[in-house]
Amino acid sequence: MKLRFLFLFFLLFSFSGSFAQLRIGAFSGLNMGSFKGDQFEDGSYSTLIGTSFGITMDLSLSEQIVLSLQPGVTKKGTNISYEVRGEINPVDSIKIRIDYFTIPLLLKISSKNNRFYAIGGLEAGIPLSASAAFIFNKNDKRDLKDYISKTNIVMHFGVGYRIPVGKPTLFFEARYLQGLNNAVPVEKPDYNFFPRVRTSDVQLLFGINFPLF
Amino acid sequence: MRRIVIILTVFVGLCGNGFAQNDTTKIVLKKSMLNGHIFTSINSSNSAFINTFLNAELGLGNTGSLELPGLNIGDFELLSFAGSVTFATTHIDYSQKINDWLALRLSTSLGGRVGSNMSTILIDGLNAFSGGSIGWDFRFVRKQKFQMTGSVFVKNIDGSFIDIAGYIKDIVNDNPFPQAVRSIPVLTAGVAAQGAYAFNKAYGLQFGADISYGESFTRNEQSFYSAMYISGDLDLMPRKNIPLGFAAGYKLSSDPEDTYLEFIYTSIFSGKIAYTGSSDFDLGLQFIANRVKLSEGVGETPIVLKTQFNFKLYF
Repeated sequence: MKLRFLFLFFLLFSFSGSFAQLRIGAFSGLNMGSFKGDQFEDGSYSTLIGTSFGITMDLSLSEQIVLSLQPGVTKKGTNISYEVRGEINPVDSIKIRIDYFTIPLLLKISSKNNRFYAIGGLEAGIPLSASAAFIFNKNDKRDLKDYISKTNIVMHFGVGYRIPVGKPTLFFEARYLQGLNNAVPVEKPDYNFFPRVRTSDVQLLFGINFPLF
Repeated sequence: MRRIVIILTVFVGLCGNGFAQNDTTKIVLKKSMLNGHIFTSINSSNSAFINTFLNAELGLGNTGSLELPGLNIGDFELLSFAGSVTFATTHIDYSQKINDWLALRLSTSLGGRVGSNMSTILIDGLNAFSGGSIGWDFRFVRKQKFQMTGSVFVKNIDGSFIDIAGYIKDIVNDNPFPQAVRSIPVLTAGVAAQGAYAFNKAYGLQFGADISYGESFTRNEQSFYSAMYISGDLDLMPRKNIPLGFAAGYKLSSDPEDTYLEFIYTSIFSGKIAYTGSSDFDLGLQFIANRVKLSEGVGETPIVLKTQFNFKLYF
């Protein structure tokens, strides 16, 4: 196994000798999460704001292409809003919160000016905790971890902008994250919180990274 | 006399300068060109080129008159009328060029079909879809006459069905959970390839295919969706100096947007007339004919004739 990792590192660093620069850094930002999929009677999903933070390891594969590993924690979930008689807009009633340990492996591809870039790739998320809180009855909070899929596979699409400040570089990113598998395994469709849904998130992130060598 | 000659010389000189300035004004071509040919696209959202653009399509179609067999309950046939079914679609997509070979694409679609009178509404119900996709387009071949791009995308579509005939059947058959309205979300992920070949300044050829895999409109079932297309086009501008383009194309597709949610392959024939005089936008009218399978209550798969307005603005 160790040999495989060594081989992988060798492969990555030998990809392009002149550009094989490693940068490490950290990022943080907002995650605006919701679910996409089955709606239920008189209810709809609305955005739940959470946070996302982690570290970045960027390996330049060429002048324009960077491979980025960004392990971190992202607070995803959704509000479930119900139509209430006498109210014009649906009222937020249940808050589903799922905290994931996320391991995204992404490619950053720069424009000609090397500032503006596109970012995309895949993420594996492992749920750390999951709960349903009833907004009008705060004592009623249920643990949902047993009902959540053990792995959440997510596809990233986004754009970013980097600003060099001496050796470090600041970056700002906007991303759309689409869950590819059901957040709840289909073997338990009787559980009526979210029978066939996937995570769907918009992230606004900022961070800084430093050249290591 | 000498003074007049001097005045004329200065005037002509000034005019000359003025025109000279106009002559040096460059028209920046934002549209895609290969081998001197500017393509008129039938499938304007599937492009073999990497551009920043906003594309909008608005289509409306009809089946013509249909003889509906009605609903058989025991020995009785109910609701057998003549009528037609109307189709409507809107599609908007935006592509942001990142560099010469990569673009990020976002799109949203809305469409549906509904009977034009109560009898066809009762038999065929109302079928609608809405959704969007997001993906990357990347160029992997660029020659003087030929270019190809690939795409990776995910697509979210919500299908909504109002099935009144099915609901009545369920009640008659003592189904404990009769359903008149169903809403089914579907997520698919896929890849695509698009190519363009320019024979000369006037003639071009475009082709492509896509395949995606994901959920189907039948719960707990997975499906492959695929499509392939080919189209040829003629631009009159280079040879006749007339800003008109013509295109004709064929598409075979099982994508839900083309089949209106039924999982079958449909053949789509298209013709398009377009204005080609602008350097930064496409404007066209497209005529589409294809067979669409309607609900089980309608025995035939009628031909739908659709007219579609296309506008594509390049930035």
